[in-house]
Amino acid sequence: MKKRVFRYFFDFTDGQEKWLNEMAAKGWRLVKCGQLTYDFERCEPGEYEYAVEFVADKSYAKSRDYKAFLESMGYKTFYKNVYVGIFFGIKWRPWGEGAGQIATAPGSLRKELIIVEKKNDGKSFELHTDLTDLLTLYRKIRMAYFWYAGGMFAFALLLLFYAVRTNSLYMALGAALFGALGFLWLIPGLKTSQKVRKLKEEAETNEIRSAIRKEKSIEIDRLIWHSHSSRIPCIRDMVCSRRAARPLLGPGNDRIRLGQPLERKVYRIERSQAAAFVPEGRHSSIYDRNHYKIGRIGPFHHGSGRNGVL
Amino acid sequence: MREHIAGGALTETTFLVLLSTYTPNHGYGIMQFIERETHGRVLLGAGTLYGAINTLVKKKWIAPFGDAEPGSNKKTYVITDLGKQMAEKELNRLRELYGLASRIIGGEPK
Repeated sequence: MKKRVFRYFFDFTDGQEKWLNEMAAKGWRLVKCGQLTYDFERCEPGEYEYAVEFVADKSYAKSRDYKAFLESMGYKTFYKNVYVGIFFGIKWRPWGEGAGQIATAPGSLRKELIIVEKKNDGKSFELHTDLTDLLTLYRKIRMAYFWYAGGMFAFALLLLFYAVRTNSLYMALGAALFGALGFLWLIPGLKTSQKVRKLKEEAETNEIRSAIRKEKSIEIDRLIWHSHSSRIPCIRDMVCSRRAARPLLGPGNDRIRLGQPLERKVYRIERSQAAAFVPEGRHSSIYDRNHYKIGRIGPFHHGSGRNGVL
Repeated sequence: MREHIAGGALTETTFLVLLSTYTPNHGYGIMQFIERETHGRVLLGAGTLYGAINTLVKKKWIAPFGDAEPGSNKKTYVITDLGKQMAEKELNRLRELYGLASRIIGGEPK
């Protein structure tokens, strides 16, 4: 089964990544992406994980070399655009490095991002783990967001100026439209800014980021199951009554390996995965492979990071 | 990747990549080596690793080794003499640090 989804992300790094992971948790694997489309095919829920990598600062040669490297690491990769257009183009990228400042199509234009797909092996999937590396990257991303937003605002101002001079309603509408587009890029820009600040703080004392994205996890403070089940429930054997989601994190933020027996302790579940487990505020039963009820999970309050029960 | 010139301290990533290339190794092998040898404590991101390899090649601490395996784009790297010097210096620094920490924090009767 296949499906095509039309979508464009102004929040092209984190927003897009989160959405792709949510799709994967629901059992949709990316097979192709166009400028405004994503083609998916069915897969096991939670079988794949995605990361979106920003490469618009690199020259085409460097970005291709990087893409080949990622492929050699066993990942599947897709180029993805931020810039939308169909004609031959050339564009200045103020945030670029060296030859990466000039983007052309065909070439690096409309290949601003690399979507990286990894088969879920229960381990965390981070492309960048060094704090200095992360800082450099997010500073570049922030600059790109602000340039996109700034460009739109400048254009909006120009249109507004003409709207006032010529008393044209269309010009005023145009100005409003571009102003709104500017805000759509400004918001993720500000979010990235916040992230940079946090990273800076962490980098004052540490070098390597802890392997798990803490801000994405929800704590589950108790583990309840029915003791009349003599079987030891395993993650591998777990089928959720709604949709299965794989990566559960154990005590001390260790990821539980597939097939590892669960214990009556604190477990964490990533927020993006929680949506696949249970709808907000409700709970869901968990069954083993033989459809034997072994426990329940939820309720989660997705926004607040409140606790749920497994 | 940042080198603290004054203290001579390498970043953990740099040091681990150097250690993983004492026998010629490719990107995926380096990642696996680091995960295995640190018992999963350090899971190096592919993007960070890519940056680290390029920096170390530029500094000539590691060098491309032989030709890429036929039919694959896996480039192999091996540590250079300069890289070995750096790694040895780091080992000495860590020994010193380890001694100091053991004395102060305890746990190592000496």
